Amino acid sequence: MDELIQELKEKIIAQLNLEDIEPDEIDASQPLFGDGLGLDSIDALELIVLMERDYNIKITDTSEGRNIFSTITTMAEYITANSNRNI
Amino acid sequence: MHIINYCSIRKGKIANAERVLFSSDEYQLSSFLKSYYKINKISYPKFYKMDAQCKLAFIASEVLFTDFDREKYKDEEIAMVFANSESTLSTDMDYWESAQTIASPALFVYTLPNIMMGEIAIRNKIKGENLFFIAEDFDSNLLLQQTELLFQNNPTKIVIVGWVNYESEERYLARLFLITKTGDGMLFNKENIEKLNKD
Repeated sequence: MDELIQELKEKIIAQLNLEDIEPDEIDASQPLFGDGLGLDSIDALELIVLMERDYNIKITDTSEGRNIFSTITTMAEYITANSNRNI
Repeated sequence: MHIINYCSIRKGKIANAERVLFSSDEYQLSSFLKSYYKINKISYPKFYKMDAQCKLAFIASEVLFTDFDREKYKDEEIAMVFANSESTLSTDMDYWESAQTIASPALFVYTLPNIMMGEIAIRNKIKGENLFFIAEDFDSNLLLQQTELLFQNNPTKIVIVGWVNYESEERYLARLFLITKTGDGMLFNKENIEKLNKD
């Protein structure tokens, strides 16, 4: 799980162009939206793309997405439980 | 109409009025603008998410607003009229490429050229009228006429007039003017616009 969390931090920084942030500065349990990393609605769409492209996971239910993208830890847990890819 | 400030970004050079603020042998726009952003300690993380053309417009607006007393005007009193010749062609192509697999939402939002004004408006809390035109070449008559029209409408008191055009990392131009209806300063007319456009 720790390896996946680190991978997600790096992918999120790259995918969302968070150039001023280093992976180690992100707390995996801090909220991704709102006060945490301060991501916006377009970032949310990019995270959906990332899940589909890199982990073969399609998220179609927006209410489900709210919980999955709560933190990096919740993303990692969801990927571990649902990914078709060996991680 | 009067020009209270103007600026330009082209060929690795950022100028405010006649003063060169920043220059580099590095013509590549993205790294050039990033250097300016960092050196001037601008703090606006969304900058990194913008496409090259928006970054160009954004940095130009930061330069234009140097010494500008923003608090003097209400949000609704500041209007914008921008134009270019490329629209968002470069990002359109990037988006099309991304759409061959999974289309990128972050690229999609930059496939309309008026997003430049949107970014400047969000940054500076501007809520006035805004207009965007696509013209073959820099057209001083078009910019003049549209600025005049904006001033005919209350509550516009100041207009940001701009030509922001990104063709490639080597070929780009941003030229912004800050215009008031009355006051001091150089007249905003065809002769002066074209003279400044040659600088």
